[in-house]
Formats: sequence, structure tokens, C-alpha cells
Amino acid sequence: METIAISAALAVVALGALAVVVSRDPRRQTIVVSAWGLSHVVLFVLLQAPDVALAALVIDTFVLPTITLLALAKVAGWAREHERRQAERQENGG
Amino acid sequence: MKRSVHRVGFGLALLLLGIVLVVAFVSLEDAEASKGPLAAAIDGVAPPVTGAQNVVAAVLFDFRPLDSMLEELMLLAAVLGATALLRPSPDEDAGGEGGDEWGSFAEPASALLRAACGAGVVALVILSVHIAVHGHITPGGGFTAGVIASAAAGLVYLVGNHPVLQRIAPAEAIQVVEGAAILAVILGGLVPLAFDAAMFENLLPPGTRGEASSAGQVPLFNIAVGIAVGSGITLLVTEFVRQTDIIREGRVW
Repeated sequence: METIAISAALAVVALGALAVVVSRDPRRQTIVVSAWGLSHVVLFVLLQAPDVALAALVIDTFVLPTITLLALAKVAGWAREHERRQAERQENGG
Repeated sequence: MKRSVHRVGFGLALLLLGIVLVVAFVSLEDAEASKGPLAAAIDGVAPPVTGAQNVVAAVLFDFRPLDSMLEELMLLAAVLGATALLRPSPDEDAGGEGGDEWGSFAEPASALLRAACGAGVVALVILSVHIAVHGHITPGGGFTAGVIASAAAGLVYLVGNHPVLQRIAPAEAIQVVEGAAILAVILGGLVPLAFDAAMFENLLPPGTRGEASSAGQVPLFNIAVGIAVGSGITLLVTEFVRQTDIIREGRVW
């Protein structure tokens, strides 16, 4: 039973990794990575490592997505500003 | 069309994950049966010597506390680096005095969200204290407790935005707490030297296995590390939030 469960958990981790690679939009990818982290938690529970499971649970559901999304928001701000400045330059030039 | 397909797929994936988690807990077998020689050796030594029920905590803060201390210093270095990189540049108005303007652009959170997050903050704080204090008995410990505590700060940001977080837990105060906690870990390691013992040697009595005040120095280090990690990651998230807020405000650019 345990062998089957570990195999199933490993399969879920592998499928989740595929889902992470397939998602193209970084914002969506952050959420998928977060959910993929939850699949590791299942694996750690099965491998009888509750300490690691607890740490992975909080890191993957809070720290990683929060910091990634905030960084993406910052980069999006830069991109918007760049476009705005280019538009201004074109107006002034023409 | 494509969007809804994505959502259904994501929902199905989460459902599958939930099913696997239930199966995981149901199919857990007695750990004794699958224990390897190394696990058997550590399990035979750690609890009688240290008095800690949780062997991982015994290894972290009794067998190799120096490594654990260096891990905390690593986290400190990461927080310092992020704080230095994310500090406001001269052309940015960090809003030192006009900080109260930051909240103006954000939509106010609904009453339901506020109530849910308030309850969540209380639950997370209680959980983190529980995990830190019982780290030597049950799974968990200082690091996990610290990250859970910083998740409470994240919830505050979710409802109240940066000004509320700054009012409840000012970054300047968190910096002091972070430094003090790490200093406590280092000094805690130096104290045994005064008693002719090795650095980080566990001089406190091991006590009765399974009791809250057992395992000597292990619970003390769990608490100190919990405070250090909690304030460190809160600081990290606060710095990122502050930077993003400046941009969303649109004043900088």
C-alpha cells in the first residue's frame, strides 16, 4: 500500500513539474509552482519526514509565491513605465 | 474557452493532490518497520542523551548547533542583501513622512476578507508559538514556526496594505528584534565556554522525555531561531511590499 502511495505521489510530483514548465504566463506559473510545492508535502508525509513537510508547506504556499508575485509586480511597473516613455518620445518627435 | 480549460485543469489537479494526501495519511505504516540502520542508530542515541522526543530537533540544536547557527546567519545575509538592494534610491520618494498616502490607491478590503484574515492571523500566531515551544517533542521547530509567524504578517498585508503592516510591526522594530534574536543564538552558543565546556554544549538537564521543559537548551534555541526567522522573513516580505507599493503608487516614475 505504501509503495503504491509513494509511486502515486512521485507521479503527481512529475506531472506537476510538467504543468509548471507548460504554463507560460509567469503570474499563473507562480500559482502552479505553489500547488506543485504542495505535492512535495504529500511526498514528505509519505516518506515520514514531518519536519520537512511542515517547512515545505509554509515556504511553498506563502514565501515563494508572495516574493515572486511582488517581484513580478515590480517588473510589470518598469515595463509599463518604459512603454509610457516611448509613447511620449514618439509624440514629441512627431 | 482556453482560460476555463486551464481553471478546470488546475482544479482537477488540486483535487487529485487532495486525494493523494488522504491516501498518504491512510497508508502510513509504522515507522519502525521501514527504519534504516542510520535512523535506528540516531533514534537509539538522541532521545536518551538529549531528552528530546523529536530527533530532528536534537540533531539541529544539540548535535550540530554550529551548523544551525550558520544557517541563521545565512538567512540574515539574505535579508541584509535584499534590504540593501531594495532600499529606496535617491530619486524614489520612500514616503518617509508621507507614508500614509500609500494606502490611498488600493481598494479597501471587504469586511468578509478582513474578518477571515483577522482570524487567520490569530490562528497562525498561536500555531507558530505552539510549534516553536514544542519543537523538541513534536515535528516542527524554530524555522517552521518563524515562517508561519511571517505568514501572519503576509495576511495583514493582504487586507490592510503596507501602511497597516508598518503601523502594527514597524520595519525598524523588526530589524532590532531580528538582530537581537540572532545575537541570542550566538551568545547562547558561547555561554558554555564560560563553564569549561565546548561551544553549544548542552549543559542544561535533559529532563523527562516528552515534557515541555525537557531537552535542555533545545527549546530555548527553537524559540530564539523562531523569532529570528520570523522577523527575518517578515522583513524580506515587507521590503518587497514597500518597493511594489512605490511603483503602484506611480509617484516614482
